[in-house]
Amino acid sequence: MSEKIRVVHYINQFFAGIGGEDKADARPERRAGAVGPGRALQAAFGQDAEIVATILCGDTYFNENADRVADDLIAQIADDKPDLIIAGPAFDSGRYGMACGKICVVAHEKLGIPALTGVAPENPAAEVYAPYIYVVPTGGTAAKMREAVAPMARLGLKLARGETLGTPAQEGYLPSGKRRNVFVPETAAKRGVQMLLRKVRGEPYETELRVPTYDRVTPANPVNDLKHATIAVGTEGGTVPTGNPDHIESVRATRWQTYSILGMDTLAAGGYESAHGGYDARFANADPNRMVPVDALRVLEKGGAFAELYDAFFSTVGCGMPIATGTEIGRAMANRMKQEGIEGIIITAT
Amino acid sequence: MRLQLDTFSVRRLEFSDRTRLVDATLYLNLAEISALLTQHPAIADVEIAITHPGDEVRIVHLLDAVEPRCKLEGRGRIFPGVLGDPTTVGSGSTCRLDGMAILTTAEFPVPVGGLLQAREAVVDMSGPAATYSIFSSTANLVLHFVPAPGANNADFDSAMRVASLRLAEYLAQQVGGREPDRSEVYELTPTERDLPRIVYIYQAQSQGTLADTLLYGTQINNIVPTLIHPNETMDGAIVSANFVYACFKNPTYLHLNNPVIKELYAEHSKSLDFAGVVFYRGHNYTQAEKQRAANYAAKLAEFLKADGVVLTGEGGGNSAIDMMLTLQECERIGIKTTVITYELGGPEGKDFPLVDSVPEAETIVSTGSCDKTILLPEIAKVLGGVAYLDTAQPATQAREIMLDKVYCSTNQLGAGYMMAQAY
Amino acid sequence: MTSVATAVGANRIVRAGRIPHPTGDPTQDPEHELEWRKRVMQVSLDALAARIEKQTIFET
Repeated sequence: MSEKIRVVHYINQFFAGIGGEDKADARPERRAGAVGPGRALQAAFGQDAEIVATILCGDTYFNENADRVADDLIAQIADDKPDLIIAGPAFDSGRYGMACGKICVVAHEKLGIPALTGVAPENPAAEVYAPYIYVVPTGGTAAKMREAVAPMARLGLKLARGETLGTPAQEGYLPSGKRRNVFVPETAAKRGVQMLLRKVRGEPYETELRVPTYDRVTPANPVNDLKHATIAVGTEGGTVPTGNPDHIESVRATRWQTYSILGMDTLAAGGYESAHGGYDARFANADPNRMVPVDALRVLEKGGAFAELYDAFFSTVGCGMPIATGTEIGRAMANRMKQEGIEGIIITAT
Repeated sequence: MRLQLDTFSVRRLEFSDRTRLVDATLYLNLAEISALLTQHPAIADVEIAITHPGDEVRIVHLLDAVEPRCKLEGRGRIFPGVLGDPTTVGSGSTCRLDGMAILTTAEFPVPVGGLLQAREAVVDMSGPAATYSIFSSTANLVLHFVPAPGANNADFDSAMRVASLRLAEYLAQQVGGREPDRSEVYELTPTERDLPRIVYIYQAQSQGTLADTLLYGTQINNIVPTLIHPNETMDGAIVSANFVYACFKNPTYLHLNNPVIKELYAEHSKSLDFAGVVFYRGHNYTQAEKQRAANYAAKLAEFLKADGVVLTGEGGGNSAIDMMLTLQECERIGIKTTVITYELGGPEGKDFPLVDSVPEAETIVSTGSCDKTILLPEIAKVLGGVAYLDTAQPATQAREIMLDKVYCSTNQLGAGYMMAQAY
Repeated sequence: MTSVATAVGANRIVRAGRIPHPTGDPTQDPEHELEWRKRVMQVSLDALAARIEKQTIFET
């Protein structure tokens, strides 16, 4: 066995023995060695790791000065050369949990070391920090200290040694909400047949992916009076001027654009092409109105069906686009429409 | 239908003066093969190379992969409809060379944009990327076709397919007829016990030139879901002509060796009753056409008295809609259904993993996320081309690459061992 | 695809053409295609002006 793994531990004023709520404004400090629950943690580590320092702070003071305190404390432990940082366990204490999460995130970012904390699953810190650091679920109160510390120590050692982790359920931490690729002993075909047989026989089965659910939005109010409304047209079908001058990506696009249709009665064939990497573009290239129906809208505009067609169309490529990017682009487009006084938009989808 | 499959193992390929198989080494007469491959006027030339697992070799511009097979007894010719008449196959006996693949590579003569273009498809024979493709572990005969001046994409594509399938047949013919390394019989015999009846619903992509699948030599873009005997697939009734996205295209090699069919046959009469295969086209163009295809596929499964269905697809978001509608209709009529699908999710794996989903999708098998990137190391030798199609940088160079460009990395026929999991 | 639009939560959905040409129909001659497209757009405008409480598919 090489040298012991060096651990820094974060706790609050209560577990440091300074005091309860009346001492929640206690200033941050660093102490050498294990303090309070750190001793239980040290016992769980045995000879494999050593708590070289403990950092602590009052819960109120930390949360009111979170960025500064976290930066200061992490700067103070740089010389301790920790291989791992453990915070808490904070059980169901909200402010303590948030402090634990924050200190872990900053330690991970600044020192590049693995970080883990322990909180009750219902502690708000669980949801906030599980995407960024390892969060071990614990009981609700300090009465569950022993049950909390053992799995934290076990996971901490694995992390510090850089071992490949199994699933959150196997390793005892809360899922981050992210997914990674792994290799397993059986082919997908074999797993598929076996999973199906379990379902058909009424035996318990475990899907490899749970169906996601999307946000729901309350329907927007109707356009009040079409006769006085500016209406826009747009597409996720990637219609762009020929040559794609703005280099909208054919898949996983990050860009969107508006293209002027001022004074145009139609989108002329040859003037536009599809930048989209997900459908056969021949039909829309032959007549771009099949994707962005400017010609039909102009006729309806002249006939008085609505006041005015906005003088540019909106375009992006909706192919393999992550929801986060789509949300961002949608928000940016909507802001533009509001600024421009557009009351409604017709968006074509492929 | 009863088919005997005679398997000869191939571990090494070597050029020689005579084409023959000795002790799992297939010796190849280069001049003879070259002549066979360059008969069509759309093909100017072909470069032929050999590579084995562990070689410091990268293959780029991959189009299709084929396993050498030929008919020994029974009706029809291998790859019916492409090589000769569309005679019904799946009976008699067939010879196959296991452990090797013929890999076709080329750049198409006429540049095309949009969906219907051949996209970069890479296989590394060693190093960290070699775990992601099944063709990193086969002995590969790599064909690089050069188009004749003035050839169009469709003619060049068709010429390459006929040439490589004919080579596949020819190589098997040089070996077949002797005592095979092993022999299996495939037949949907009645089961003695009352076992759950399982139907395989087999979806394929067909959208046009460079994005097609052929059934007995003809594109499937206008078929309604139909029945096919699993043995027919082993004789090449389904041939790939789809080069769109490397990660989820189903090469001819896997239509011949469909992992789901293999698995259902292995369990037939043991834990299940393999009740049949429904074959259909994904990528239907309207909601009504998608729903019609989904309903029809589910109805055929019902006609086959299915208790359960395994459903696989080919292609990206468009085909996912067809898959989910099919799954939904199956579940609605009381057939339990498991779908095998790739995932997206973004490089960090925190975004939505599926393009489409229905609440009935309770049993999903993941073939992994194609949005993840891996590092292709610098490598000594490249076959199939010189520069990456998408970046134009020399293909010997190291690059970070998304798995969607790694050949068959998230294959939905379930050949691979990868999956995505929450962490 | 109305099923996808519904799944992802769009509220005003108009059933139109096919994936490669949502507002086109290459099987018709240009004059009739434009007439059809105008009808799809008129239904879309009507959809914008319609008060709805939940996701609604507007038929053309």
